[in-house]
This record gives sequence, C-alpha cells and structure tokens, in this order.
Amino acid sequence: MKKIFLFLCCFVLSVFILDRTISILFEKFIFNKTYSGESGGNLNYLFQKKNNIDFLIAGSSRAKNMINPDSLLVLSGEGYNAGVNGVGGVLYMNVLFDLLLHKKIKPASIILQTDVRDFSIKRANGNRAEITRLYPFIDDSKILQEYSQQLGFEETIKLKLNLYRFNGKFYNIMINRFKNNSLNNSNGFNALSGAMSFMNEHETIDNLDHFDSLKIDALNNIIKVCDENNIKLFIVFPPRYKNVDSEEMHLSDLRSRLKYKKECFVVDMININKYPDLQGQSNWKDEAHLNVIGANKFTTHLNDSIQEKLKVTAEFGNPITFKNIKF
Amino acid sequence: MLFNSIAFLIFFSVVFFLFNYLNGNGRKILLFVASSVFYMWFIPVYVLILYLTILIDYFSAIGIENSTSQKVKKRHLLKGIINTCLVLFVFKYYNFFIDNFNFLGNGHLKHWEVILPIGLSFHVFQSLSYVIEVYRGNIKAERNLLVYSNFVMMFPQLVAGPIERASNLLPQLKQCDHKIEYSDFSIGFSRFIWGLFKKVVVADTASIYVDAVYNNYTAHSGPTLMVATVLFAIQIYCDFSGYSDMAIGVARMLGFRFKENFALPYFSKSVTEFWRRWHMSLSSWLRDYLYISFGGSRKGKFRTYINLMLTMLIGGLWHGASWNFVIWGGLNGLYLSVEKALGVKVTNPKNIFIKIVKCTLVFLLISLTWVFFRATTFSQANEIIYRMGTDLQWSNFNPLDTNVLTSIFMGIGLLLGIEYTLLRKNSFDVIFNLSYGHLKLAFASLALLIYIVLFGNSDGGQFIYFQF
Repeated sequence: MKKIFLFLCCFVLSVFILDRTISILFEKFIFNKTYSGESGGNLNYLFQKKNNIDFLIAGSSRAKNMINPDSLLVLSGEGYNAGVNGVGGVLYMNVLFDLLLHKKIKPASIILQTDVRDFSIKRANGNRAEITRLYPFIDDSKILQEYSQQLGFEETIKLKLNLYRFNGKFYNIMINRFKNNSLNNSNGFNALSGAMSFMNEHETIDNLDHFDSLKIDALNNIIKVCDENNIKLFIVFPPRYKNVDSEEMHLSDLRSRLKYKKECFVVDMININKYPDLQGQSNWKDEAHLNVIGANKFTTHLNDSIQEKLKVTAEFGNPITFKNIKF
Repeated sequence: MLFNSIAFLIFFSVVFFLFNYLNGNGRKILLFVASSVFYMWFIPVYVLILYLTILIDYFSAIGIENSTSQKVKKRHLLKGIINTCLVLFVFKYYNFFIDNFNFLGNGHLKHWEVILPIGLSFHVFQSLSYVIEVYRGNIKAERNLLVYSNFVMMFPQLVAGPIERASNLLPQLKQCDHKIEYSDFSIGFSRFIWGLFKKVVVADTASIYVDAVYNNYTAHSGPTLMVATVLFAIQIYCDFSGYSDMAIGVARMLGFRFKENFALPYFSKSVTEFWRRWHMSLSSWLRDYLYISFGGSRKGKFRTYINLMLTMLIGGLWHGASWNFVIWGGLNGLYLSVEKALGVKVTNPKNIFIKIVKCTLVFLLISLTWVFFRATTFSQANEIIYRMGTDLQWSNFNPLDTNVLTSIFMGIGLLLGIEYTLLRKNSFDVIFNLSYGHLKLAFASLALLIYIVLFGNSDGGQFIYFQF
C-alpha cells in the first residue's frame, strides 16, 4: 500500500508540475502572441492592438458576418467587430465587457447584437459553451469566475488545472499562432460569400414562457455597466430570411422582464418586411446569416437606424430606452 | 455515476481506501453498498429492480441445486429465466411490443411512459448466465446472498459490462481477502486512463461531428454522411471499449480480474473475426446460450446459417427495442452466414497489402451496419444509405469546422498508433513486466492525462451502451 500511495503522490505532483509548466510556457510564448482565431486570439488582438477603438460590435456570428464597422459612418472613429461564431450570447458578452473594463478599454459606443430566442430557458444548454469559450481569460474576470462556479463543483475542480482553460482550444491556438496570425482584415468583420441554396424546415420560435434568468441578469448587468461607464449601448435585433411569428411579441416580453431599465438604445430590425431590399434569397447565406451583399445593405440600414435614434435623442433630450420605446 | 466524472474520482478514492483497510465480510458489505450508491446515482428507486432480479435468480439457482429431479430443476430454471426476462420485457420491450401490436392489429394500446433502468440488459444477461450454468452443473449455486449480489451488481461492470461469467468472478468475490498489489494497481490505473482517453478524446469529440451531421442528415451530402458514419464506427468503438477498459481498470485496482471485452476489433480481417474481438462477453454469451442451444453448426449447413441469423437478430434486439437494431443484427448475421458459406477462415495473411485491404473491407462493411444503429428511424437510415450510395461527389463534402475535424483525426491517429504499435502485441500486463515497465505505464498515463485535459471533450455525455 505504501508503494501505491507513493505512486499516487508522485503522479499527482507530476500532473501539477507539468500543468503549471506547460500552461505558463504556452501562455507566454504561444497564446499571448496569438492574434487570430476564436479561441481567444481575436480577443488578444482586441485587447492588445485595438485598445483605442471608438466603438465595438459584439454578438454572435450574426454580428460577425453581418455588421461591417467601416460602414457605420454615424459612429465616428474606428470600430471593431468582436462577434463570435457558435457562441456570442449575452453571457459571453457580459464577460467580454467585464474584460474590456479590466483592460481599461472603454469605447464610446457598443453595438450588441442579440436574438430574442436566445433568452429562452430551452437554450440554456448552450450556456456552458458561452462561458467556457472565455476560460483563457478567467483570471481577469470576476464574472467569469462566478459563472464557472455555477457550472458546478466538477467544473471548479477541473479549473484547478491551468491547462483546462485551453481545453478544446489548444489546437486552434497553435494553428493560428503558427499560421502567423493570418487576419483577413483588421476590423473583425467576416463577410460570407455565396448564396443560400436550400432552406431548412421553417423554424418556429421556442416558447418564451420561461426565460433564462441568468441571461436576463447578464443583459441587465451589461446595460448597467455601460450606463455607469458612460458607454452608449445599442441593442440590435437583426432580421432573418423569414419572419418568425411572435418574435416581435417576445421582444416585448423580454423588455418587461428587464429590471434594470437604464439608458440604452434598442434597434428593433426583426421584421424583414420593413427591409424589402434584404428579402431576396441572393442576399442570404442561410436563413440566419446575410452574405456579403446582404451584410452591406443591412449595415446601411443599421447605420440609418442608429442615426435616427441619435437624432431623436438630440431633439428630445432622452434616449430611447427599454422603458419608453414603442416596439 | 459516470467513470469520466469528478464525482466518480472521489467515490472511487473513498471506496479504494476503505477496501484496502477492510477484510472479508467488511469488503463484501462495502462492495454492496458502493455498488448500490453507484447505481442509485442515476435513478435511486431503480435499485429495487436490480435487487428483484438478484433475488429471482438467487433463489432459482438454489432451487435448481436443491432439486433431485430433472423436471423440478427445469421448472426452477424456467422460473428464473421467465421472471428475469419479464422484468426486461416490461421495462425495455413493452412499448416496442405495443407499437407493433397496434400497427398490426390497428389497436390503440397506450405506451407506458417509463425510463429504461440503466444497464438493465447487462445485468439481466449476467444473472441468466449464472442460472443456466447452475442448471448445467458447471458451477455451484452461491448460497451467500451478499456474494451473489456483488456478482451481479459489482459497480465497475454494473451498467455496461463486461458481462461477467460466474465461473470467473464468483470465486474472486467469495474470498475477498486478497492483498492489493502494486502491479494490479499500476496496471489498472493505466488501463483506466487509456479508457478515459478513448472515451473523452476520441468518442466524445467524434460525436460532435457525428451528431451535427446525423441530427440534420437531410442537409448533408453523401460524402459528409460517409465521413460521419465512419466517425460513428470509431466513436462507438471508443465509447464502449473505453468503458470496458475503465471497468477492467477499476476492478483491477481493487485486485479483481475481469474478462477482456474487446481485442482491437477493427484490425479484423473478416466479419467472423470481428465478432470474436467485438464485445466478446456478449458474443460469447450469445454463442454459448443461444447459438449452441439452437443447434449451432451440428445440424447441417442451412440450419447453421439460420442459427447464425437468429442469434444475431436476437443480439440486435438485445441492444434496443427498435427494428433498426434488429436490422443491424440481421445484417451482421448475413455477413457471418455468407462468410461461413464461402468458407472464410480466421487467418492472418502475411502480406501487409492483403491485410490492409481485408481490414478496410471489414471496417467498411461493419460501418454500413452502424448506420442502422445510429439512425433514429428506419426511414432515416434508408435515406442516409441512399445518399451515401448516390451522391459520390467529394466536392460536396462539408467538414463543418475544419479545426474540430482535425482534432478528431489527431485523436484517432494517436489511438491507432498506440493500438497498432503497442497494444496489438502487448497487453498492459506484458508492458508492466518489461524493464521499467511500471514507469513506462506511469509516464504514458501522465502524457495521456495531459492530452485529455487539453483535447478531451469536457462536455461529453453518457456512454452509448448505458441505454442498453
């Protein structure tokens, strides 16, 4: 038994030493010098090379692929699109904004793209992916540390290993690092080429009777943080190829569940019928994503909508808020 | 409780240290309690079903042994088999039966909304083999209920096998006074890590691609479906053999030796050989208690083929209450019958080229059957096979996420490399007995563990075979 105990001690110690050594070396020589890819590289780029931006676009792939910062002329200055594929919901964004403040990056405006359906409790199984995507930065965000604790005791134990932060990301980071951080462009926008060739079955929106309270809290916090830091927050709800019945109604539901109704601009663009030039199939890559042609048209519409909001604010002195906006 | 969870790590650490300091009956009680806790981790009340099957077969076996008349022995045997199978029928096959009954007779019998007790088919088969062996006079009935309970429900093999035979496990459980050797612990530990690697790195990452394609199969081309099917073949192997490795490893750390369940099945040169290497504890069970009982190959060629088909059809149905599983079993039965008819023998050709061709052919044939295993309906399986057979343009292949796919293939490459170069010729025991063997195993485990932390799918779910 002594031999077994000794073996276990040596094994655990070796795991610990290896974990710390590899993670320190990896972070120092590889990760911190990776400036592309969605396993942390694009955020390194934002934190290290774009820390003087004037406005930030945040959200999912629908932000990444559909909003071109260079075309948002109404927001003067330099912008960066930090949209992310696969995740990019409000939990991710809540952590991202926390990280921005930690890195002392304060853009004048933030455009937060989101979708009403993402707030459904039925989508809660995607929360884990949103949270774990930002693990490489866990030391810098208290919100992320709290979220990880909410994933359970097992997650807390796993995070005792520093290498676990790079779980599922190691290969991507290495590839991006050794591909010499081949960034397509410097504003983060990633336009999709090609047009939609087929349609999936018509989507129906999840029943939003049960909202995910974690996400509601996250959105509240985003609004609060932006308000406290004097950042103009535009919450954008983009359209889809086909309107989904009741989505606009659910937006109203979402509004009613927000407790912290501080100042922010809601840009409701859900209804595709309001944008006839976006309706053609040739503008879309798939039902949820505009291609490069559609994205440019959409950004122009977004630019106009933002201009309209700002104009109303200038005239009446009060921004359009969740509290008083008419949907 | 899942082997690939921190909860199990804590659970096993406690069990291991208590087991080490206890002896005889103390160990038996500990195993019983630990196994009950392990099982109750899923749905606590279902442990009562487990206890019920244990009691049925425990008393049936004693009844068989106490009887002097062959007729009474047979009655006890039938009582054990029927009652145990009844439990299986009620929980696993009732709804399947209702569906078919309604379909054939236009009836309107309702489903019974019940969750299948985890691993039910495994412990039912283990119990049945015990009763049959007692009836055949090959083993003595176990009079100690605690020992017998541990035989059926010993936690490492409780929910997904290997389906242990009483002749192997009961004597070990009866003694329970053995000293835990360092060699056993070291070999068991490495075996566990190897199984964990297979499950978390290969099976769970492959499932990302497989699920994405199969859950939206109408949107994917033939080549994409082909790659997903091949990946599913690897996923199910790593998921199930990974579980077996972990089960064997856990038992070995406690000083118990389970039978092997997999022997690198995808290196088989014929389907016959494949079934001697795949889920060996089930295939030997089917051979000993079904195929041979049907007459085996003793009643002429034609009857042999029928027996093979019947055995594999039942084997398919054992996996799940669905016609897809029956077809899966039927296809394998067909392969075996054709090989038998063609006189294909289990040989090891010296020419490496012939070896590769044969292995590839067997792999592809077996992969085709997995379509029925993975698809949720018969029409889905048909559509997938149709697309794979008609759309052969590789330009239509969709990798989904290239980086994810590359990570999957890296894991598979590592798996194949270790299996081909190391495990094909050496067991863990052999490696341990090499000079500095224990250190080699420890370093390999360490390296694999780091790889698991970096590349494993930390969001991986249950084992596929739990549902059976």
